[in-house]
Amino acid sequence: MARLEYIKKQYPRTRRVHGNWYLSSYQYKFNVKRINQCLEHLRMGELVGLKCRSCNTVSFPPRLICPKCLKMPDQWIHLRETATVATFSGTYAKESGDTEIRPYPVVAIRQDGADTTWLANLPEGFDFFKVYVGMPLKIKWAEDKKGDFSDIEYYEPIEDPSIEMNKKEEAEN
Amino acid sequence: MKGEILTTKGAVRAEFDFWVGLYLDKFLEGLEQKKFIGNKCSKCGKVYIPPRKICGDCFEHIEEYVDLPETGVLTNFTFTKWAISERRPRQSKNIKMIGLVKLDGADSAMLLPILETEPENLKIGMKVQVVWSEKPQGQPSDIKGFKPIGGA
Amino acid sequence: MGVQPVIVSAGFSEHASKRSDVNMAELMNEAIEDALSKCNCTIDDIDCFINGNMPAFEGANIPELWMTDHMGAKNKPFMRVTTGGTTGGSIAIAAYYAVASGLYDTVLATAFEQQSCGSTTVGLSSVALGEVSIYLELGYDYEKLRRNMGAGAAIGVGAYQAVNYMRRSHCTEEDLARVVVQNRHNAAKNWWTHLKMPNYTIEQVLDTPYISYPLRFGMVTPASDGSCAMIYTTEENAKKFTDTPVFVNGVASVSNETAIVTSEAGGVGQIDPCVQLGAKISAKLAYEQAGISFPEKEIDYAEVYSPFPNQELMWLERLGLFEENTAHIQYREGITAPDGDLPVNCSGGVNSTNAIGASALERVAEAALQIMGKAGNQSPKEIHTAIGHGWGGALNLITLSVLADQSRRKYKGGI
Repeated sequence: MARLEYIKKQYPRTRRVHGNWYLSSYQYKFNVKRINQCLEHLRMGELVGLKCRSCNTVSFPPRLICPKCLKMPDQWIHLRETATVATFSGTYAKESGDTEIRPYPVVAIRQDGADTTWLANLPEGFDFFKVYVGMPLKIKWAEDKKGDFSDIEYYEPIEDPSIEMNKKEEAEN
Repeated sequence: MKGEILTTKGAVRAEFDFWVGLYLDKFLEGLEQKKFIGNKCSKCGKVYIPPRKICGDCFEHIEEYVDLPETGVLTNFTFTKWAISERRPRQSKNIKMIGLVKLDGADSAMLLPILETEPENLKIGMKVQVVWSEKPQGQPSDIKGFKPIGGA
Repeated sequence: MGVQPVIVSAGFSEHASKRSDVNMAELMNEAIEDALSKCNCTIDDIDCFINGNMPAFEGANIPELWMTDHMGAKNKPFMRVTTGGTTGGSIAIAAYYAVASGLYDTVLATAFEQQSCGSTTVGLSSVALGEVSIYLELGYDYEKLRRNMGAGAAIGVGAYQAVNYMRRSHCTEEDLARVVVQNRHNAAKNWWTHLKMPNYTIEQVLDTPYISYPLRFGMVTPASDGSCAMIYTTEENAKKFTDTPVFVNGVASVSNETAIVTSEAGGVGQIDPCVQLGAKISAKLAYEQAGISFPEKEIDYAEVYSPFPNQELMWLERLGLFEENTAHIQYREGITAPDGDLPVNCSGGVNSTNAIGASALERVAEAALQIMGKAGNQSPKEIHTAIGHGWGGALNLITLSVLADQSRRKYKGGI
């Protein structure tokens, strides 16, 4: 990491006392009723989201409590396999087998028909500089489905003709 | 209903190295030489060990260091067979005794193990003397504990 | 209804990367002595103490258990308030209510952090582990999860907010660098800050490597050790303690939903992290209490909580001080410089000094000192109304304090 030069004051260093302890040993309990139902559908190759009857917000992956009106949704609806990139960033890391540090894209994806985002994966080794907000994607299912999140192997980008059309118009103007 | 609750287990271990500050640094320096060093408030005369920057009653800085003897008085104690363990309670073979020791001339007490005696002999007001560890390193563990003066 | 709270003093300790000469209690005491030395208040006048820091970042919990003597709090009421990154802002609001309720006359609000004692991974994992552990049980690949969380861990949601903000406003990385350079030049003129860089340039910022796109190493906040203390009291007492009282006219604290990860592996309702509805609602509530209808004209000074430069631009817009998507233009024209029309972060901001527990309180403290005319880097403009803002919690909580040199309650006839 680079070092920044700034005006520093030197302080005398006193002794240190070391300690370590188990800050917490935890048993977190999660209510996975809705998630389990959604993953069952994924095992059969179906994509479902959970819809709240009082405000019509759809969540995928499903939420126990509606994010907008705080009621408990209970209506399952089918969703399309297409999605869009809601926001993204990149981590800079040297993966094993690379010669240099390069950016690895991290994307938050919103399934079409749903009003929530989640962190999912793009194809392995996808070029970070091709990612943009609003990029259209489609699910790539895994070969063997086990009924958990790995059934969605990744989201692969699909063609977006509007990008070329916008570039042409900008060039003409 | 079964299948609806998922439990994940784990543990988070915290490590820390805290800076002791200039006053406790003097105390640990004294321990390295097998000496007790405290400090005395010039306004109310209270003697604190381990030494600290501020006197709690006067809110004044304390600047005068004093040497304290190796003997003191037991002001409180307890004993137990349960070990102070990390993840779950366990019993140890020997009975552990700990007590509050007020050194002669000090106005504050320190919580340390009591050694070389039996629980039946412990009394409030008993005179005790320090047991140093073999090779002091300037850490709180240099004080192994206190033992009663004149045998058990 | 209620008593009008007034700030009479604010003090700081020296901040550094490693304050290796003091323990936590002595660090806290430095700020308290600084605060008491700037007014006629003594420790015996204080009726109540409110303290806080980010829990477990030093490896020890509830550190004030051994700080009573150093704070002068012997035999007096004491309360701990902790809300993650906005701890300081919540402490300011707690002190406000303690005085406004009439229970206590004079309250000492303090906050500190000594991060060089512990390890940040422990602190962060005690906050975030719950939401992440379920993904591993449900089939999410461990390596991919580690990389995905890595984009958020060190920087948090700042990177995602930056991407969306840059897309909306078309600001460039050079605009972000300009914000950083202004902050660090301001910090060089202030006595208690950490990164004093009077000769920092935009080229130097853009020359450092990326941490998470689009934020570079030269743009992000450091980790500091330091503390801050403020004294709140009633209007009556303020006349005894100081000639320049600062009235706290409005406070608000509103939170959004968490971004990026939520409970039980469900989807997150926040689609665009730079919308920040919580900030808009906080601003509306606090300005109503303070009687401000046109914040862009009535507010003379702003201290916003921006560890990352894109956030400084975003908060200034969401809190009503600039029009949408125009904040970076104001920086280009020098409107936010110390001698401009609306000075921002003359103290250097969180971008130059970040002792997590104390940061949000330092924003309110600097805003108060600017109104009093006693700040380290005092703006030449006359300041009558200022705001101190905090952001944090689980990346979703906002706190806001609106300060002025006149009380609003007088005008409204005792509402």
